[in-house]
Amino acid sequence: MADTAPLPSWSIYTILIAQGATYALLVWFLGRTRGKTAEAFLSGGRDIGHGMINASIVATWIWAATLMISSWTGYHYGFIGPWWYALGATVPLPIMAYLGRRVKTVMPKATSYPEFMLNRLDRKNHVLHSLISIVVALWITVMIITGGAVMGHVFTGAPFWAIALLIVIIFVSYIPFAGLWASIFADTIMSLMLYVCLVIIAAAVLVKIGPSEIWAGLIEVASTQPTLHPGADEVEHSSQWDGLNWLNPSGLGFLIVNTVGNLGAVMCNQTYWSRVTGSRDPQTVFKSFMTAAVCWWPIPLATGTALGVAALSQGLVVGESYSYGSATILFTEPEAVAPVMAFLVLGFVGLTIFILAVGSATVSTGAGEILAVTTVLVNDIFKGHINPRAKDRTLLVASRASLFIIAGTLLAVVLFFRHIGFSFAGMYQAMGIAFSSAVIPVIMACFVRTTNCNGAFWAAIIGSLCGITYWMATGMDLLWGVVWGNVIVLSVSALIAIPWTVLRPQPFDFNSLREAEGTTRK
Amino acid sequence: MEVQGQILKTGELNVPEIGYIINHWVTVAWLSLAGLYVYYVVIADLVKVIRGNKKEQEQGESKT
Repeated sequence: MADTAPLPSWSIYTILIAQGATYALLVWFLGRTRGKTAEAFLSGGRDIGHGMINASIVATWIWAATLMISSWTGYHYGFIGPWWYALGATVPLPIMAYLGRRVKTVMPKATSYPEFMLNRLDRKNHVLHSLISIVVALWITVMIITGGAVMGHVFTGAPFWAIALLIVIIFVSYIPFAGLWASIFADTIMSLMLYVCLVIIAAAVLVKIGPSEIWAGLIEVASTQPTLHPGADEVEHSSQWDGLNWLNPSGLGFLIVNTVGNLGAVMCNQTYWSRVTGSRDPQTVFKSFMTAAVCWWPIPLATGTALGVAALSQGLVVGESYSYGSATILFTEPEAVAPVMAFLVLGFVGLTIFILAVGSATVSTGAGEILAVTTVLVNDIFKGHINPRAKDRTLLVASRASLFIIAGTLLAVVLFFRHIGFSFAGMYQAMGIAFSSAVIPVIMACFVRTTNCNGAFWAAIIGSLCGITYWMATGMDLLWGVVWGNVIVLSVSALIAIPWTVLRPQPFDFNSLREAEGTTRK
Repeated sequence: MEVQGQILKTGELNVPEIGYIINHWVTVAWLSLAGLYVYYVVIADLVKVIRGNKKEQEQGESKT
């Protein structure tokens, strides 16, 4: 691999080490006094303003996949692909704005969303949502580390294990100083870097190729119908030959998958609820999630258009090698279209900028997810069930220790999966089907005064089981199987929770949550 | 051919050149404006953080 990698291996080490050192230094300099107590460590002080929260949500919701897959949608579905990708993935953020504002208003001292579920519903819902949020965050982190390390390995030739190790070290290099505040602050810096990287790439494509030439290229592809992905089925070919169609049919299914599948990844994920916890007030929560949606949308949209659609217009063929000056790059698979196109437009600089952007996206999301797991483990499991009388110092030590234990475990899991050749194909979709059933109970717990605790609990479990059973019956189909799987999950969940609540209402006084805090109440 | 039939059928929905040019410029302009907004609000927040830290430090020094 080292011989065919376009960049030297030291480049990925430099990028990662420089990022880790910068975040650790800045967090130590600006925020070292902020993690002195367990409450401050896990809640970020509850006084963070709109700017940092907004940027943190943007950075956390940008994964390597946001940049890679949005470009793939442009290459696969034409100019409308990035619009659908961006729309589908943006939807959870405005919904989260309403949920976050509601929880911040009715229970301002909540540290985690399972803690809210405990105080609003009951203990069994608390355990269920604690487990869901832990599994969601861990699973996302495993995928993120693997994705980042694979990309670094392919483009620099550095060993997979070394990159994965470095990524994990960076996760825990700055968070122990100040906990949630450190995570949000580093996200902020990463989002600033991401915008610079992506604007450079988008502007370069605009100047060096230009929209007129891209349009002409798409017309050329539509009229000559070349085979751009040898071995792919006819649906994919016909989709690529239809790159100027604003109603590309096979992209519509992708829109539904992306919309429904992402609901659980945001609303049942403590990482995003931590941004609610750290915010100054309910208005800051609402404004930050809303503006984050508007600021996040153009990231996959512009990246997918600049790199994916442009690659389609240039007729890039999977399996071919492409040159920039004397250097060449192999276009190994359609999902790698973004870095290949960045390389073809700006050479090594373009590829380095893209890897920097992906590295930032990986670190910001991964670190936030690890801290989210720590929050639920310490705040909900340890304090809630194991040692309710734990002192603040014990909780602080447990929080810091958890970070390192989780990071080490994740590294071991990632290396093990890599060793056995585990395929992550479809695993993100599986996660959406498994956990989107908890979305309706969470929304009802926030807004419906009479939500039945048993209804909410069984809706999450039975909805998930129905969706998974259906998806497995379709042979884990990654297009319409996932689409209907997600629709079934949400429908079954709603059909259980809503009638149960209507038939057996359990009136609840939201005012009782105003002073509620902690996980030992019920 | 089925594939060609689909193209002929949906080809009527193709965007014209001016439509694509506007689309492309919108994506870049939106990204740039979003970036500027994020920079603006983040810098405003960071200034507050630095001022807060300074104030805290001064209060700590005056206590000692």
